[in-house]
Amino acid sequence: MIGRLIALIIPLGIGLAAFLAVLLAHNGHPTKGTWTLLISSGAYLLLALLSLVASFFDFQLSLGGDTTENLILGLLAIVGISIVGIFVGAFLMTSHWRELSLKTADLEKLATQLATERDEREAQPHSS
Amino acid sequence: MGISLTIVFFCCTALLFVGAMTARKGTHFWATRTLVAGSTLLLIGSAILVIFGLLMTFQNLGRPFLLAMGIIGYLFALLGFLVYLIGFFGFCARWSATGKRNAELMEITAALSAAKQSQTQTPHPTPSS
Repeated sequence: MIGRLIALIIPLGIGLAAFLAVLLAHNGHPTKGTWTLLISSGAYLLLALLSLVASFFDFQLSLGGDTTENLILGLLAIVGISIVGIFVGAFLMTSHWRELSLKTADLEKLATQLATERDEREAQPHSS
Repeated sequence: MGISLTIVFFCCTALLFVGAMTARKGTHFWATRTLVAGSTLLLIGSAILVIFGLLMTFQNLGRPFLLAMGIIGYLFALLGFLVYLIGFFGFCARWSATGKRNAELMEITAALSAAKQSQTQTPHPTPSS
């Protein structure tokens, strides 16, 4: 029982930490990658939480053989899709980093240049 | 089923590796280096597991060798996952800060450009004789 709980708590903890990290990133600069990661990690987190709760209460489905099997297969498919979504989202985010960081560096240079020009204009004596 | 899942896992880790190598071309810091290291370990681990799966299916090699190969593959993949995760947390924090700085700078440059334009358009007053 305790071993099972620990085996469920560790993925849940990692999923929660990853979700919060992605939420922070999404708050700073939302892109397709952050959206994909947010939805995928959220789905994974929800399923991990459900598994933990079901395990804690020793929940047993008694819907009938085929329905239970289909439900479990459906849940496994969602877990699989969410994990693939996490990989795809991570790829999209990391490949967008080059554009974001270089654009920010260019904007820093432009802002510094414009500020310097403004200071020079203000420092110029007015012609009498 | 097992070998196909391993191949899917390999393809996913290859995606992470390509993404990490692309991120290196931007601002390179400790988190991007960690992402590259983690994705490399994941890729190596998943490659070993694919080879392990193929050998299990098509070859009749000794059990100790296959067991050692499987354990090594899993260890590489696990270590790679942990290293990638650490890098990813740092990457998300830097992403957030850079995104906010980017938005600030866009406002600042827009304001400075507008001020520059209005100053260049305003004619200088001519002195009265």
